Amino acid sequence: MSVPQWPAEFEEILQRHLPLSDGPIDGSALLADLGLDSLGTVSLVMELEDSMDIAIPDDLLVAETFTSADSLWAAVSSLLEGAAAA
Amino acid sequence: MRPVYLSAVSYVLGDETPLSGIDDETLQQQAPTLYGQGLKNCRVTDQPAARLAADSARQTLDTVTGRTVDAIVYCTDTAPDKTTTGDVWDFLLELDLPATPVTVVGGAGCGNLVSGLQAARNMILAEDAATVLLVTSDRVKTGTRYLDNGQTALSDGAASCLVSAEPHRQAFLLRGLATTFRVDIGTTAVRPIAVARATTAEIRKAIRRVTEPLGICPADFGRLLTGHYARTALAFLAMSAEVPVERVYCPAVAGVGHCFSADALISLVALTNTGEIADGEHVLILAVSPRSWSVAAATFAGTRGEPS
Repeated sequence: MSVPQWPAEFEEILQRHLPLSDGPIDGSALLADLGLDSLGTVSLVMELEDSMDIAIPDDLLVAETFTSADSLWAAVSSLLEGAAAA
Repeated sequence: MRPVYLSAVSYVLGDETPLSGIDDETLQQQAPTLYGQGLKNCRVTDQPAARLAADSARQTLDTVTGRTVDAIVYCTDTAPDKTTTGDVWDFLLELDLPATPVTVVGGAGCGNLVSGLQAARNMILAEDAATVLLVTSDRVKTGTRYLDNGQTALSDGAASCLVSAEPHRQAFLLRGLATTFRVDIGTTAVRPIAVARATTAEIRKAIRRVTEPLGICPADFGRLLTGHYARTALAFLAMSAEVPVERVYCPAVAGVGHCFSADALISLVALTNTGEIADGEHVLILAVSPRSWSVAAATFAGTRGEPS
């Protein structure tokens, strides 16, 4: 199990969309195995954008981004870093 | 702002036909999925859309003294049988209203209803008309009845209502109308998540345009009236609208199929005929196409004509 490197806010948002998750999210676990479906994916995107004040570009809205918490955090953190540098 | 009411809703449909009985290869391939998603029958006719429109409008006009209105809004996305103008003339002659001005509305697909309501309401607010007949009529003339976007089966039919300055029996007060367009979002086949995100964002934008001036939020709506789509599509629309999925109201989905822009009016008839709606209850109509999202907020004014 990989050690989460993300803030609590990200973990809390993600947890709300993983109905099969039990306990802290393993960064390498497949989000689909934790219950993330297509409806949940869109809902998750909307909540991440609203709560973390980011706009996820279309080129990141692909299945690979939502494979695991690690892959999703990689996308989100790059956007947060870009916003902070701007 | 001057109040504007919607009332006297009627509809006519093609013949009820089981999905399995329709000669449509694509539809047959999808039929097992559609049955599993709550679809059962669709409505089929070879009557022209203008004839369907007239048949529905006639029922609505039966509630009007003198069977006359000041103007007509005719919504359709169906290719004309003659020309658009020629079909409208046929429609007026069928109704015996040869001198009534008509405005044709299209371009928002199955969201044409709200575009039509906007046109009719603006006529009322401009005091160009006191009573407007709105009719929306479509049918499948060529191609498959299977609609991938929404996972549903298209049906032939028309629905109509009055839009007026004065309330009639079983009227709804129109509280707000909004439509957003995004024709640049691509297709679900190529980028499903991006298209779904854009759809959700646009639906929420349209709803905010309606609710914020009214000081209400999506949770204040007792019912969400949408097109007749598959269960998963309805769940997606409810999530996008931020309305609990239990409030989605489309009781005719199994027997009617997706009758283009008429679906929400068909649901309004069910809602009032069954007495399932209380005076003062808010309903949210969400009528969508793959590239546009239309919202109408209405409050049931009941039998007295004024909301409680």
